[in-house]
Parts: sequence; C-alpha cells; structure tokens
Amino acid sequence: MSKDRFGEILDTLQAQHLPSGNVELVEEDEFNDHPFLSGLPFLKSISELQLESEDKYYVITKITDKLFLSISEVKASSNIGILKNISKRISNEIRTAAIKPI
Amino acid sequence: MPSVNLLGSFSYDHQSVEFFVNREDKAHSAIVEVCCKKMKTQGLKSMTIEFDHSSFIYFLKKGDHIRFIEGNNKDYPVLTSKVRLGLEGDLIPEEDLKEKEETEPKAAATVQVSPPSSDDLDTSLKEDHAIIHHSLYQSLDQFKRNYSNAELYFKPFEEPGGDFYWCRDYQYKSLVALGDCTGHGSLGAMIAMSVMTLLKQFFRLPPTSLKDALVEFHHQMKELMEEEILDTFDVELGVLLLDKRTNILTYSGSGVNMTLKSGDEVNSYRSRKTNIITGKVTEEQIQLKEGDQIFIYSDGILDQFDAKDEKRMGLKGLQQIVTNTHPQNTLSTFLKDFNSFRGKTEQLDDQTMLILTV
Repeated sequence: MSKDRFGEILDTLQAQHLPSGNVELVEEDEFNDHPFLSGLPFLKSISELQLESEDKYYVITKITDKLFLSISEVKASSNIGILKNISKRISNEIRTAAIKPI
Repeated sequence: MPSVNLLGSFSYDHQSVEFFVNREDKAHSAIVEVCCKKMKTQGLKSMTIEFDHSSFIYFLKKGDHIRFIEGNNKDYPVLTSKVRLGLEGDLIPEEDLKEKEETEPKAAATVQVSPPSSDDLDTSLKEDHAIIHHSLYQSLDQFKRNYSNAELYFKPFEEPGGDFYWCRDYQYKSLVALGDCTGHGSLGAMIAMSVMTLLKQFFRLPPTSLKDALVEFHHQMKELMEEEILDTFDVELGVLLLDKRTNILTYSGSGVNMTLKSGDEVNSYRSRKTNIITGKVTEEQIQLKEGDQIFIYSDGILDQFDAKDEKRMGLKGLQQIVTNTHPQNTLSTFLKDFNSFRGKTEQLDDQTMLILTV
C-alpha cells in the first residue's frame, strides 16, 4: 500500500538522485521474501544495512518498523557514501510525505 | 583503543563461527551466523548492519572466511580498516588474550593496548576535539578580507562534527568552500580533515573553471579514497569564487546549496551530489553589488524538522527565514526564526550556515 501511495514520489526521487540505479520500498509482508532482510533477527533494532556485491552497492534504510527503503547502484557510478546520503534524503522525503494528508 | 564487543570469523567450508572476542550483552552473536550464510548465498563481499544509529557489525569476505567485528559507530573507520588489513590481533583486549593463552598454545606476538580510564579518555577527547577544531575552522577575519562582514552558525550533531568551512585568498580572486562530510562526531571530523588537506593542495591556484575543478576534485578524492580503502568516505561541497576586480561571484556545488539575498529579492542556487556522477555539474555567475548577502549552508539546516516534528524546513522554509533577516544583524535574526521553527525538536545532522555580506 505504501508503494501505491508513494509510487509517484519514488519515481521522481529516483529520476533526481539515482537515474541509473534502483529505488524501492519494502513492506512488512515482503520482509520474509526479501533477499537481504529475510531471516534477520533483531530487525526492530536494525536502522540500516549497507551491502556490497561484485558489481553493486545496496543501502537499506528503515523508515518505520514496517517499512524499509532499499536503493542500489552499480559500483562504477557510485560509492557507499553517496548512496547513504541519497538514502537519507529519500527516507526524509518519504517521512515528510507520510504525514501529509493523502 | 576502540571498544570491541564481537570479533571473529566464519568458515565458508565448515559453516562454523569462531569468536575471538564475545562480550556482547545484546546477544548480537546470534545474528552473525545468519548474516554470514546470507552473504554466502547472495554472493556478497561485505555487509554492515547498523543498530539504532549507535553500533554496527561489519562483515568482510576474505578468501574462504568472513571476518566480522562489532563496535560503536564512531569507531567505524578504525575498526573496519583493521579488519580489512587483517590486524584482528590488535583489537583483542588484554584480558581476553590472557584467557586465550591459558587455553591455547602461544600464537604469534600481538600488540596490546590497555584501555584508558574514563577520566583520561574524557580529557584526551576534549583535547583532541580542540585540536581538530583548530585545524578545521578558520577565523572569520580571513573571510572578512574580501567581504564586509562574515557571520557563522555552526552546530555539530555530535562534537567535533563533519561540517567545515574554508577560504583562500588569491591576488584577484577569493575562494570559499563549505563542506558536509559523511558521518558525525569524530568520524565526520576525520573525513573533514582529509578533505581539507586535499582542498588546500588542489586549490593552490585559482581555478579557471569552477565546475570543472569541482568534478576533478571529486574524481581525485574518489581515486585517493579507493586506494586507501576508504570508499565509505564522502563529502558534499559548495564553492564560491569571487572575482575581486569585477565583483562577479561564481557558485558551483556538489550538494551544498547557496541562497543569495539582494535587496528584497531572495534566490537559491541548488546542486546535487549525483550531478558529479551524471556529469551534469553546473556553475552560476552572479554580478554582486554592495550589501548583497550570501547564505551557504549544509543540508542539516534544510533537514531540520519543525517544533511539531512534522515538517522539514526545506528550501522554501529557509528562503522565508532569509527574507525576514535584518541586514544589520543577520545572524541573530536568522537564528531567532530558525530556533522558533525548530522549537525543541531534536537536531538530526550537523548544521552550518555561513553568511557573507558583500
């Protein structure tokens, strides 16, 4: 549902900040199927995950206990520091949008 | 020596975890095996898990093992680089070593450092912060050589902070830079010191093209940081180049914005860090006149939430406050409105606002 509500905002933010990367929201009912979040204990006390694969960086930031923001970018175009900044900005935008009336 | 709660390695072949240090009271050790197996199945090279913005566990794949370490966020660069370099022995507390020696045959020599007492640490930290402050922050008098007035609001989220400001005077030009580094506290300050060193070296001569210089600076910084395995370090910059002969100001940035107040007119000039990646960095040239005021600031100002903790200040909010500032006491009128907007809401980032009057 959050995806529907914030879909347009996410598209805009992706175009602004990560034109060649990926931005998505992960909702509570998707945690168990998520490649990185599934099975993780202490999910409630985790505030952020930073991951590095062979060709990509990922940053997964908690927005609320039931909603995470996941962004990724190829290594040639970014680094973890940039992704962390972008993730912080997008998370703030989503938090701001969340408290506005629909 | 930073405090280490958890240190060890995971064997890919045996699927087993060995702890060198395990003094964790939150039972984070339970998460280690899950994460190591996840790294294996997902083909990950490294993983950092941050807990409540205060502590972390870092995992790094090296050969057929995954090394991991847990510590406080402020010690992240030190601890992760130790793990990357394979110097885990340095991090094992003396008492743990003694226990290990009693149960195991003697291993290779290890460096041991006794943790300082909390009083020593307190005094030492304050002295360190003072040294960092001194090296990072210039006197405002240096800015006043080329501007009729310079005022500053500087409030780190955690001392000494990752924001910095710097200026250099050339014969006909003057350069001002404001930077916002990744991280807060000592981590931010450490990155800021590295960036400042590079800035001083890079801008020994005035740039002919500010935007090209900014792109090249970030390019060189990235290369250098990657060499040093410091790729989590980064900075957003806003740079002003004033031609003293013509009073033409050139602004370019990689995430630090500028707002110009000229009479009753207020205009903001924005930049994004991603423009460095996409090659879309721009520069703005503005003809200044006497009395014009330049506001250059880190994103902690724009990201401040209001007294009800519901709405971000954002650019519109800032422009409103700038419009209402009084030219004779700009900073105090700015702070009056800014603090009124913020109320008692917690600050979430380092906040720096440099106000230069032409």
